[in-house]
Amino acid sequence: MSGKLEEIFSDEKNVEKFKQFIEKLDNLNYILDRLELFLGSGMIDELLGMLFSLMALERAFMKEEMIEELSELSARLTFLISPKCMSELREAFDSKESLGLIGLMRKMRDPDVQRGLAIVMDILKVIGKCNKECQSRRE
Amino acid sequence: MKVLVIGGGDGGTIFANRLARRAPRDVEIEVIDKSDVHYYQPGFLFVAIGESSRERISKSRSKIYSRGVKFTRAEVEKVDLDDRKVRLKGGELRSYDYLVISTGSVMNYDDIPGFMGNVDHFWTLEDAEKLHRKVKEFKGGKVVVGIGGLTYKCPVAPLEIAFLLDDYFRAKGMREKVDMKFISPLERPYGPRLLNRVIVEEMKRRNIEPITFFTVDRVDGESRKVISMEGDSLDYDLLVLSPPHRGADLIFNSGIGDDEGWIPVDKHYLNVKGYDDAFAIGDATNLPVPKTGVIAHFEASTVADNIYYEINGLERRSLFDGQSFCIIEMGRELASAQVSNYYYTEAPGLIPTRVLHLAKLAMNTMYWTCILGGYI
Amino acid sequence: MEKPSVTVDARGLTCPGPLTNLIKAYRKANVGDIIEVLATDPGFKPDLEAWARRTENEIISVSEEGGVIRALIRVKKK
Repeated sequence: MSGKLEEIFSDEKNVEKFKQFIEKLDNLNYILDRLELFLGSGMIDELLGMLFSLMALERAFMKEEMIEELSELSARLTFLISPKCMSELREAFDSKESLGLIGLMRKMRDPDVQRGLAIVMDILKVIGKCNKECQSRRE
Repeated sequence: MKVLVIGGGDGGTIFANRLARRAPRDVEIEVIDKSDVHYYQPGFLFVAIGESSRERISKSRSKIYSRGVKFTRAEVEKVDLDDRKVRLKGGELRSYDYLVISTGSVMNYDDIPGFMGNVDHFWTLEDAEKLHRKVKEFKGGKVVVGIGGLTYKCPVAPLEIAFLLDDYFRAKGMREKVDMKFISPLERPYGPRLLNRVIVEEMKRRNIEPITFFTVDRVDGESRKVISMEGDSLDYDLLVLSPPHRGADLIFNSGIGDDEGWIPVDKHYLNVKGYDDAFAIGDATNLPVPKTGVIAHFEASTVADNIYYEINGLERRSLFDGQSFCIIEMGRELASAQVSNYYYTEAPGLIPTRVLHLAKLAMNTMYWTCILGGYI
Repeated sequence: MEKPSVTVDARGLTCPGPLTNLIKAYRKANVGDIIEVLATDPGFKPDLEAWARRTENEIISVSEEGGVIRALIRVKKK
């Protein structure tokens, strides 16, 4: 046996590689410790499968055009993460107000509400319009 | 500006719809195909084992194109890339500013004497339906599945039918009456080495015997034997092999393909070699990539984006990287996958999991709207 | 240096592409023909050796230059 080891270690390159391996042993042990926790549960295979799916998703669908579109949309939704808007949103959820027809008329005189209503209506229009094309494909 | 697409399969349709979404109104996009029915080809495998049907995987081509795409049912006889003209059957000529050839691949039964009439397969819907009838009536015996023609679309399909037939017979409680063998011309059942390890393990688990170094030479229907170039022969009661494929007749008529009918194109930009305004995508090319729908999809996206950039005075900047994903259905809600692109040296060996099966299911459902529509 | 009757250019093809293309050329070849295969996939060498052994065809030479494997095979048996 020692003869075989001698043969391996007589090559300087192998000695170097082995030294590097020893240096990494602590890290490798840490990784193995963690992975060991999953052995027998079948989870490693599942997790690898999920990682693969994520990778496939990124490769297949994260095209420049899609990122551009998503970013453009996000750029217009920044109001959602402004602290002022967030606190007003909270107030809206906390409010105990209810609107009947008269109350509705009153609220609709507010220019901000009018602007919001216009946006929501336009969103409805997009949904209605695009849904027509989507439906015809699905028939 | 006229963009002409020959072939309304996955590649041609995704290309046309994707370009139509962003192209200006004065760009005319026309898709020409001799059939007005579009099939979801991955469904053929499931028709063969009775889990899907013709109605569920076909749709009229009048419904799958976006506004801005004109579909013409016609047969193209010849293309003249120098003159930028395409000749239809009947003599009508069409000229173009951009041409996309997505004529796919056709069966080349002559390549294996005895194939037609003796070998079952599921590469066309009719043959898939025929195979299903045979499978349903099968009472037991020798089932030989595997690689027949060496060039064929969807490289993993022979594996899938093997695993799914195993599952089918098990579900019917007749698996012990079936002797299953998988034939391959290589010294292992499947090509990519790491993936092959997974395949071999699964075949062993399911009692499917791999027969290696078996290159199908001919089939003797009378004595029910399939004979190899290496000099061996196997008896069969049911023989399911991939048929040999070649390029469409039009490619041969126009003299633009190699001896099997595949068109040489630039590996990144997909233009026909020597031409700036003619492209080929999908099965029709001679690129060193598997012939699959996923490849046609990504190639179509690349060409659609590049034409869009060029129309708008920009440089072509989308590059095709050879990316391919082939989910390998194995039954029991499990699937593995074959993944490759130009830069991999080895395809990974993916252990069969439910996640991959679910991913395929999601893709099935999104196919008609998101994928064919050219949205993703 | 023997001149090949046919050249199979499998550069850029990954496993099992080069061997599959060799088999295709072999199907069309005649006994005595010399098939040249160019491949970049390192897995081609062991694939080729296994195949040549099984089909009893002769590997005349295998060389490697600039990442390209060049193999010359004589068709001895069909």
